[in-house]
Amino acid sequence: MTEYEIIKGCLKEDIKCQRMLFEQYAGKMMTVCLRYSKDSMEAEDLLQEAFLRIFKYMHQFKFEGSFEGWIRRIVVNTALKNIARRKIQFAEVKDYTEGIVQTESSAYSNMGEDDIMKLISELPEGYRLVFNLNIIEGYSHEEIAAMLDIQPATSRSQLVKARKMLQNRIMKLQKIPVHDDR
Amino acid sequence: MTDNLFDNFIKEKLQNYASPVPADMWDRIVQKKEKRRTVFWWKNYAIIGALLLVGLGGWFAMDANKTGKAVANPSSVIAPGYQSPVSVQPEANAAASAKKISPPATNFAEPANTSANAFGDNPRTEHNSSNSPGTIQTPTKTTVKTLPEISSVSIGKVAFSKRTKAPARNARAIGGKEDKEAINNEAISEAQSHFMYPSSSLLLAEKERRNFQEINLNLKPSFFSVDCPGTIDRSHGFYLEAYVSPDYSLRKVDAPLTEVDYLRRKDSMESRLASFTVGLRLSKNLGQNLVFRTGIQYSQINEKFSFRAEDERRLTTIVTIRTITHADGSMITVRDTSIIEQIGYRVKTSYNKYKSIDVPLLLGCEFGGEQWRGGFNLGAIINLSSWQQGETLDTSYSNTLPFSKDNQTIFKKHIGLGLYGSVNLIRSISPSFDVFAEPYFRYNFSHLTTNTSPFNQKFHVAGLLLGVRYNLNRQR
Repeated sequence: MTEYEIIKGCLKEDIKCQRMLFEQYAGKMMTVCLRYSKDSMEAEDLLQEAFLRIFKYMHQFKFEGSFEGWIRRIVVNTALKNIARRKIQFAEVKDYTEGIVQTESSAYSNMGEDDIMKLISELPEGYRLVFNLNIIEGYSHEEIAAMLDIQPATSRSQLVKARKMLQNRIMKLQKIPVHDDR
Repeated sequence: MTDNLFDNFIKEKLQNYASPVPADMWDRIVQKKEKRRTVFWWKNYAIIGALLLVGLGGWFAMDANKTGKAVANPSSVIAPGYQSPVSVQPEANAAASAKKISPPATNFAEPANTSANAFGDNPRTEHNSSNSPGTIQTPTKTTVKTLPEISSVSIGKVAFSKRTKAPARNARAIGGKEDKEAINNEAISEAQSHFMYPSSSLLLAEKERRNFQEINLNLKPSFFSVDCPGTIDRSHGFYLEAYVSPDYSLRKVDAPLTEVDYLRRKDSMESRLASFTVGLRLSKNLGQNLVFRTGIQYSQINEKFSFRAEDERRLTTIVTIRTITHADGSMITVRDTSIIEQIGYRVKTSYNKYKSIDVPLLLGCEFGGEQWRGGFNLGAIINLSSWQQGETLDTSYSNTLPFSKDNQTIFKKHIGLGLYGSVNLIRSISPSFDVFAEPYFRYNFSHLTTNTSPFNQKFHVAGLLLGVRYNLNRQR
């Protein structure tokens, strides 16, 4: 079945098509949910809520642009609405390893996705949110500032701090390739 | 550039990465969907149940009112001055009970030969058999029983059943002039005068009426109690109502597909203004208490929209040159350069209007007295037409989206069905006119916006109808 047929089936509330859609995109959207949640339980609740909204508002997809992008927007919006209920502090977190030089690509190029996800989840909430929205979702600082009701300068500052903290932690977990000399 | 490389690396790694999903996640989604559907239908059932309750309550009120009439309004035919016969019945009993009847003395003061009573008997010989011949029992000795025990119908029946025998006897008594029809008529009129409208018993009739009123006052009040039916009959009530209402609109907006910030910005740009409703309604009584109302009304919700956008940026460079002279005479020149940026905003204000024409279909229940009445109404509001004009925020934040009657890409032309509930207070100011106040709440089921709109919006409205109604039947 093509994506078009699956979407048409979902519009008719065909449970099989809805299940196929879920199975096709659940994994990627779970990654998105994990990036915006404190823990896996919250991520599961977020994924459940996001898919319910996707099925509810399916009729608003006009077959313009990427369907995955449309779904991703809904998931991110659902995550932000969930986060908005908590008052996030965008305070500067003292990082005692500020003096470390910029990380070379060899330090992190061998890192797996799980490692990166783990490092991102360990970031303070404000850092993590700005990092996800800017680096992975691609929003500008002005857009992030408007969405989170902060100043653009705060968004930039949070990103710089987040990046630095991530790089420092990567350095601590430095993955060095092992060469087999046999 | 290293930061850029790092960012790109993270993005490429995580953009398409699929994390493991719990095996029961789909079942949980299906369960939640079913649960929400059930809640949705339960809400609808509750609304339908409420409507049915109002309908049943009104029907019950109507029914109880008919029963109440039978209880509160005993027969107006009162036969005064008689001891009650034990039961209504066949002529044998009637004859026996007739002997106990002692008609008012004044009737028997008239010549007996020409005005025999309806039984055709000489009252002096038969009815006073218990006493010495020739004596007449006076009315003062008769006891008046409580109303349910007096059955004037039975007495009337007895009277007229005996009447058939009377004419023959009367004809012989008069002396042979057998004008049966004339005598028949005379007997009937005599019976009527003796038993129903005896001239000397008017005072007694008045006393009975007062007793009735006292009993009516002592009747336990009930929810469905009505005025003495002899004075006001509301079942034919038919009114034309005209009203106006200041309204307060409650706006519900959500935007599942746009950024969270869009709603926040949109909300900050829009502020509520005074709204109103005007209408005409016909109100028809379906009984003493139940009322059906329908009509046509025009509603307008007003809003102020203030759009603030950056219009101009001005950069001003300020160069400050200072010369410092040292003690030894040397001079140094210090040049400070600073840049000031000024941002100018343009504020554009427009007024949004949401207009609609609706038909209310209401079922109500009214109760109360002649001067003051109260009640409640429940029903549906059907939207005939809806049109809007104004502007709203575009998703780019840099512009506005206009909407009008000719450009209805954002809002619908029909907003469908709504639920209406109100309580009303009515005051009579003249036999034909009443004034009323009716606080109400209107709940709209559907969104006002189309599928292509970047947001979903609907209004619920609360208001206070103030109006005047004219009784088209003018029966009070």
